[in-house]
Amino acid sequence: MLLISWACKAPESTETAAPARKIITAGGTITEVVDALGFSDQIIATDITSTYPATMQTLPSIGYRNQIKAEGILALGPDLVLIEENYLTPDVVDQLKAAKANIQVFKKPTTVEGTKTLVNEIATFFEVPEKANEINTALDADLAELDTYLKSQESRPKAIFVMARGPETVFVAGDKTFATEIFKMANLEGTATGFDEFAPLTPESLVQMNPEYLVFFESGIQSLGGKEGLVKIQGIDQTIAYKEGHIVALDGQYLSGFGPRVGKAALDLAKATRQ
Amino acid sequence: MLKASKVHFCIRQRPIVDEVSLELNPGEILAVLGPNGAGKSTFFKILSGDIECKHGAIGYNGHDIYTLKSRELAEVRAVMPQHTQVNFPFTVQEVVELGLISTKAKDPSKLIREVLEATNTTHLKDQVFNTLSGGEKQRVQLARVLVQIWETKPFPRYLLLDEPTSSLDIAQQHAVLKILETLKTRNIGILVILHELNLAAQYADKIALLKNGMIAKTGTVEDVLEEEILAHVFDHPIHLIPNPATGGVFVSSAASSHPNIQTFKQA
Amino acid sequence: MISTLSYTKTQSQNLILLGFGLVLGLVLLMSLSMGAFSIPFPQTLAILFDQVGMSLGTFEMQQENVLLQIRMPRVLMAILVGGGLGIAGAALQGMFRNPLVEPGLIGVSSGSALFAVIFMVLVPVTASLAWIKPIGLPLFAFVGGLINVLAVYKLSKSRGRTDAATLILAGVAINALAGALIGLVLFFADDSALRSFTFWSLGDLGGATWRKIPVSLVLIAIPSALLLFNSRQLNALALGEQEAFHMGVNVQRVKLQLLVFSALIVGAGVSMVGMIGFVGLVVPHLIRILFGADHRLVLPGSFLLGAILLNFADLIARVIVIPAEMPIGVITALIGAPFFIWLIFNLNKSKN
Repeated sequence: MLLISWACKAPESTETAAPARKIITAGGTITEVVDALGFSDQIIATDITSTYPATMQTLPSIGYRNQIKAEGILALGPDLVLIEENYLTPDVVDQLKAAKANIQVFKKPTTVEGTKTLVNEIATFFEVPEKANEINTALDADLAELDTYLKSQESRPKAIFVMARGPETVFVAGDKTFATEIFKMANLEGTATGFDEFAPLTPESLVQMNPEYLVFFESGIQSLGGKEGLVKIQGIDQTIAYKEGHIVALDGQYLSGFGPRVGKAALDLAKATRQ
Repeated sequence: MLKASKVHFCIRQRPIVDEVSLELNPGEILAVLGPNGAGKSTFFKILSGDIECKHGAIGYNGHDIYTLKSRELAEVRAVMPQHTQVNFPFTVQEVVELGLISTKAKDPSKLIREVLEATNTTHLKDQVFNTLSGGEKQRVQLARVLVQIWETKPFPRYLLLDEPTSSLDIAQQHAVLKILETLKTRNIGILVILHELNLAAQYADKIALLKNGMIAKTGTVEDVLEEEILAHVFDHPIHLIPNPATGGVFVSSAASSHPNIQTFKQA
Repeated sequence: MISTLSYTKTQSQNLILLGFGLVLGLVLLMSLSMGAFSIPFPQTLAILFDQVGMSLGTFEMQQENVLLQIRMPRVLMAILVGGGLGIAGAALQGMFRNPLVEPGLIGVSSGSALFAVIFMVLVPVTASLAWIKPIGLPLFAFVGGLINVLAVYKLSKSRGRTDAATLILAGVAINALAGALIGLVLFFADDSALRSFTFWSLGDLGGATWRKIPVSLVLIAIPSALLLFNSRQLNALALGEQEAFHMGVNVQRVKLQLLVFSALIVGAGVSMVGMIGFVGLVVPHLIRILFGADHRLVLPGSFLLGAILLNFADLIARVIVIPAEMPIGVITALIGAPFFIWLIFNLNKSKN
């Protein structure tokens, strides 16, 4: 219904009732879900954080976060713009709405429940609810596997997540971050607590936390110059994690996106911190 | 009449202007003389309204100065500053026009033409003010100040000048004072602080001598210019010599007088 | 200097302003027809004429939407902010009797930005308070700009005059303080609605929507018009505050008006689009160099030229790295800083 009413809306359109849609997505998780539902071949452009599937990076880019401009999106001629809540500046969203762009906003998941909800919402929007069930069922299977694994493990390693954008910009994730949630899923004890959001990592606090495992994004490790460059972080050589070589690096979108692969990500994390 | 009555102004308990009373009538030039630190400038600023003084009274044509708004005050007195810095590229014409800003003149272009002529600056009309020489700038400022009170009105106006000749050469000094002389017929009273005693002797009608904030003597030029009072005020021997060129006196501050030249001594 | 042989002064001034108005119209048209979203020029004209009821051809709905909903408010915002910065710069230069003054240099912009950021942190965006934000934000920013400029003014006064060197130094100090505080607030507050540090320090017209136009109109256009009424007084002030008083100007009242209106304009502008520098410095100068120092021309001329300049700079910002955008503060700095250097060089030359 929606599809047909769309096709009739465009006044100069010469396309038939089931057109090849032109979708632009903004937000890595949105892109992942759209892909999981089987519509990624209709995506014509996306933002910088949409790194999965890898083919997305070959598409034209609309930019990053609040640097994205309304005209830039509209210039690509999308029929549908799917965005993560609070990803674009509110003014740009207003402009897109004022320009009568077909724009849908979705909440970014911060928990597994959120993931399932997002999958359901987008699937409903695309009118493929049965696919949502498939995805969520697969997710449950991943979670079951995770559960089994964790039950076989006695340890509960101490870990912290470090966000690095070059050696001068190093932050540690505290409470109410994605790290809190994913650590919980992987049954890790996060020792960076007592503060919310991200805080700059100081040498003293690093030694104080003394994690057994240091978790990074792959891009973060790269920005420090690889594992050899980690020593640039002051105080890191005093930690158990560094001394034992317990450095875990995972893809950013994979680890923090809370997309359909979150179960697998949690399992990978759990395994990587128990070697 | 511009009347100052018992004006008293202290800074940190020290009287800078000490119970000074003065009268200026239209049609006369009153020169205020005195050594440095005598309080001339401070008194001047009180008269012009720049400094507020709580002791004593200043009256312009019977109105207390502090009851007048700045616009009303501008209609009755104009002030010629010692120095003016103009940081923008105004033309001479534009600078002179500013004098009319608070007055509703009936024929402004006529007034401007006349003051430019009176100050001999008509040929400079379209030049940028900052490109003029010191003397030319002074005359243009005078034109601006004059145009403020140039239009004939039924009440007297007053022109206050603080050392208008200090940075001018001889010819320019006399040129300015001659212009001031012509103002006497326009129902304008002129009060001018002068440094050069002989200019006062030549052009003033009345003189007020100030020393240490107090009036040492006021009166006509003949009354005030006498050797003993001048020597007292200026802390230096003064000799008065008849000036054949003007018919008045020539004030000399040489250490001793030539024996062959007749001098005036106090009786 | 333009000679005024056959026209009176007012007539030639009006002609010049008319000329600027025409140039502004042309620049407007150019700005509306270019951007990341490609609209052929005939369609641009067709859409514009359609608004006044004349049919000039067909166009697509999306073209109309982009032109009228995204570009038009942006261009209007550029006119208001650019014009406001121009006229406020001219007024402040006149008030401080110093051609090196501009809102950015003397701390009005950074003070406005600081208070804007504080307001956004303190006032939560709840439904019941949503109406406060569009008016409250620019007004609070105005308070910040006013406080800053008063601080700079007090710091730079010595013996009744504003010494140029102290003025610049005071501006540098206050700017540094405000900038640091902005960074501090942004660092601790975690709210994407606060916008980034580059938004505040380099400016961005990309967030212009029709909703922001009415407030901007009131808080920028009206004080700008009120500034125009002080043109002759500014001329008098140029001779010195004492001289202006001698000539009958109510100096305190004029200074207050100049400060308040300028701070209001800059505060509103900064709260909408961040700090954009050099417009308030360059524009009044160009007017003076070309047409003389009479504020009756310099003030309105600065508004028009500021509107032209900012529109032009925004156009460059929008098309030079499509589909991304260059921060507009970079463009105005690239134009303005060399001009500033040339100014200082010339001032020194004329002193020697």
